[in-house]
Amino acid sequence: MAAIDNPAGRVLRHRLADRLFHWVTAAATLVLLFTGFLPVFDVEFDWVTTHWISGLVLTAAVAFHLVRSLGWQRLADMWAWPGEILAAIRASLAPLSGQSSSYRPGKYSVAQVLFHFAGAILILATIVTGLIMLKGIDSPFWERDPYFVSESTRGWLFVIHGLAALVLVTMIMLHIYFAFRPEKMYFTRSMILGWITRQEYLDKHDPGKWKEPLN
Amino acid sequence: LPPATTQFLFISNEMQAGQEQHVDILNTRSNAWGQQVLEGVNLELVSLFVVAGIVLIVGHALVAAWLHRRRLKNGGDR
Repeated sequence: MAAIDNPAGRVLRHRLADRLFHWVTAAATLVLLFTGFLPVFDVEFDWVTTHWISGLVLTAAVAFHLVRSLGWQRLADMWAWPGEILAAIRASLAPLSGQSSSYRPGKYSVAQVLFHFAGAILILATIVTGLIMLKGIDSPFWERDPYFVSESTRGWLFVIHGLAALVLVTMIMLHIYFAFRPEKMYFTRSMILGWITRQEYLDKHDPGKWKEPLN
Repeated sequence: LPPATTQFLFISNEMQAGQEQHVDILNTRSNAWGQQVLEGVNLELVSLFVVAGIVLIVGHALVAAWLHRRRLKNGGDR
């Protein structure tokens, strides 16, 4: 049965497991950014322990998301072909020439897909470099080995880790800004409650591209 | 210094307490390119990316508001 016939008037967008993943990832990422960058702003505290523990939480969350997206979700929802990207750009530019466009995206807009793609690369870069750097400090689970990688490699690790984190600062600012935009608030609600209304589904998404089961 | 910090200091003998430990981590002496990119500009670098975010947000908000007004002016719906 199509969502159009949903008597409750709601379309499921994010399942509970995916919402939990999002908010755990958000919390871990914010803790990582604050513990990583506050010392730069002269806020001194024992940031290393909180930083690496949050890093492991983020790593576990991303591993969970990878398994879930490969096994239980449609990868095609989070992919955009050039034709789709061009159609979205044309639709965005249409108002500039006083025209309207009938284009509607599937489950995710092209902007969301590209943002996710960039965010995934950056997060994975920080995780991989962070995990290697982790070997350089002691923890209850392992002994440090500062010579695990060469000096030169360690230099690259720090640069990649730091620059990826810096770009993530800008991206997360934009992400939070868009989450509070009036026309995007229904995305935020769906990330909290899981659903969007039937009307939002029909108005802002193409049911031909996003066929979702009943809530 | 707290134990974990001391562990990190072990990585580089040149590291000092407080913010310098983080600065030195980013400014690791072992990579010339990395040193050129990050040395001495960490505070500025973080600020740059924060300012970039603010500029993009304000820019988008202004363009979105302009397009919205334009639509209303042309008789579009709210």
